[in-house]
Amino acid sequence: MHDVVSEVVLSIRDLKQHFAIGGGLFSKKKFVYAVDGISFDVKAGETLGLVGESGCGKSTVGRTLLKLYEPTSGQIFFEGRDITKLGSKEMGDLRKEMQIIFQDPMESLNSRHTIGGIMAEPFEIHGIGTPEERRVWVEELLVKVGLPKTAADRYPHEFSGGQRQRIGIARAIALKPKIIVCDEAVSALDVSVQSQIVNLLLELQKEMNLALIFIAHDLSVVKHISDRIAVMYLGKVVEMGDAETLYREPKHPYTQALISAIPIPNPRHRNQRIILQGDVPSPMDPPPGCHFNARCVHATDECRVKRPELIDYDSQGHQVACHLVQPIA
Amino acid sequence: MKPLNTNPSSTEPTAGEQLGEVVLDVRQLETTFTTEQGKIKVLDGVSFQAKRGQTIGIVGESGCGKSVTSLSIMGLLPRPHGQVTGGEVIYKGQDVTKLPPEKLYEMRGDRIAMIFQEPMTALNPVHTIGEQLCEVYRLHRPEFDKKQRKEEAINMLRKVDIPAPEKRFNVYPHELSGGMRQRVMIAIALACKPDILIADEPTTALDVTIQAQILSLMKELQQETGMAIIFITHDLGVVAEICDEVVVMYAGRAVEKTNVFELFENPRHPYSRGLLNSIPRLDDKPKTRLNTIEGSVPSLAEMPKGCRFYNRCPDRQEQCEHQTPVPEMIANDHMVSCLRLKELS
Repeated sequence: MHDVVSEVVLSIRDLKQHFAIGGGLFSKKKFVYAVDGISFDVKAGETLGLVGESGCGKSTVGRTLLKLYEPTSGQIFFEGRDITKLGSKEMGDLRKEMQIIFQDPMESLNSRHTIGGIMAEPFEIHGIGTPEERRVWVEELLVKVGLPKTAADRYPHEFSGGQRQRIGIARAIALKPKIIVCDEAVSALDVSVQSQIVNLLLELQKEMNLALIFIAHDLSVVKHISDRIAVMYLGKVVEMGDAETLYREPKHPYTQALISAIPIPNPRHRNQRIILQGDVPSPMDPPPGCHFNARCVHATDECRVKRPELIDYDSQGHQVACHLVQPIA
Repeated sequence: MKPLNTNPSSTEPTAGEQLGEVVLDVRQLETTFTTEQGKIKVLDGVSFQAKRGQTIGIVGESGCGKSVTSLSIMGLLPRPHGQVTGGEVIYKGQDVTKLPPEKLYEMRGDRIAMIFQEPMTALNPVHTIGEQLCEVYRLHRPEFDKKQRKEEAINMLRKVDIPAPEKRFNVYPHELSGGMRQRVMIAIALACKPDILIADEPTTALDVTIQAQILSLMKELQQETGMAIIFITHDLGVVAEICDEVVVMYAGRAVEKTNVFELFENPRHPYSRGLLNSIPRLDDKPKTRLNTIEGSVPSLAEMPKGCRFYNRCPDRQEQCEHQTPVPEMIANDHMVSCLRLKELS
């Protein structure tokens, strides 16, 4: 079967992003291994969920693959073209195709401009259309995301959090991108509003055949919106696979603990948690061997010295990085 | 009768104190804020009881008044704008909203303690966590000497499972992770074995694995001390995990109150139903439409006159626009405040 859905929009290969800190006169230069060798593909019309705890590098992946940060090493391909080494000028045109939505729309909307002004900006930057045309497009976009046309003449503070996120989405889809990174895009919203925004994203994805990279710490939401999910721990992907399978049969001990820690809205489902000990270690000096070994109840001597590779668990694209998981493929 | 007791020996459970006994009775609490748009009632007749050894959840979306409820109980409303204008909060036979400031000061942190969402803003960055713990004893246990204070403080740190408590006694808040800081906050709050702990979104800023640790710690400590917990949260998953009873709030009013099983299995108010329906569940089919509640919470200045949920309610009728619903008991422990309750059942 061959259809449009299967076309790969973005791939990353062994992507690394190390941030240098210190390195002054008296301190030795150190590195934060925020992203440490990650590879995946995202297809048109598909959502890849990125989950993990704070400091696991999920947001850095999102920003690096849009080249908002220069990657330390590895490659980024957009529609088959290697864009890793492109300069900011050459990236300019590509930016239309790759957008991002942030957690707090209030911080990403200029409070002194009207919504109309803010939303016309992408068109202005890329020199598309006349002011009259832009005004029409802005109004169309507002209606598309469920806001009245009159919103164009109002200011960001006049809107509620959910409405501001709709504006953020409208701005992101203005130039008809191929891929949008949603970085905690629904995390700050109340449940009833969050579900409205999730629905909106799903509708737009279907209509525009958008690829989405959905970064969030709320695992229930990620599960709901994603086709595939990558679980990150300290800069590495520890497990990746189809969303259903991953939640039903998590293989990596970290994924198992993470999923079991999700509070289930059912009071008869208590006391069935795997409670992990300790905190996520610092990405500045990750432990040797498997990064998860200190918190893992199953850790063996091998786990403390040898780093597990992400390998195929089955032929369906389920991958796991754990010495203790035997592939069935 | 002695006023609010600050004597540690009296905190030992006595014959009269049993699990389930009411320790805090909030009756028809009404709080008003004075704003540029005039006086606005942000809490309008909220009632619930905190019981010994049990956890009561207050759940609702931003602006529903759940945090104002806790601030009203603690006498921590921003002055002079916020004021309790009606109702009472009964603790040991006294209305705490009418206590003089010095009595409140004695009670807070001793008999009723509180933890917040972001421990970093509640902890003082320039003092070690040990000093901050000892401060509680200096204020509420003047009979302790320095050595006793330190001993007790280290004991508390051990109790909240902080590794190497003797060493951690001397560290500053920034040296700890978010989860550890929340543990320190809990240690400070529980230092004087309070009867009531008010927890305002204590796990919201934490990762799920750390949240699971903190929730299980709170349950454990509750079992040990028999304190009543008032747990404020927007997360229904957390409610299901830790609460015995739940008050659902919307725009300053309690719309439903019942035990946790009843709420999840037989919600009766259209708002409770909408809220429960709109959470994504792990067993949902992926990428399907989620149920939603249309619109968003109205701002306090533009509150609908009758039922405050009127403009978002899927079951609204004409009467709901002008008539204010009255709380009705539909079972022993199940309160619902909806004009169409009978027709919708």
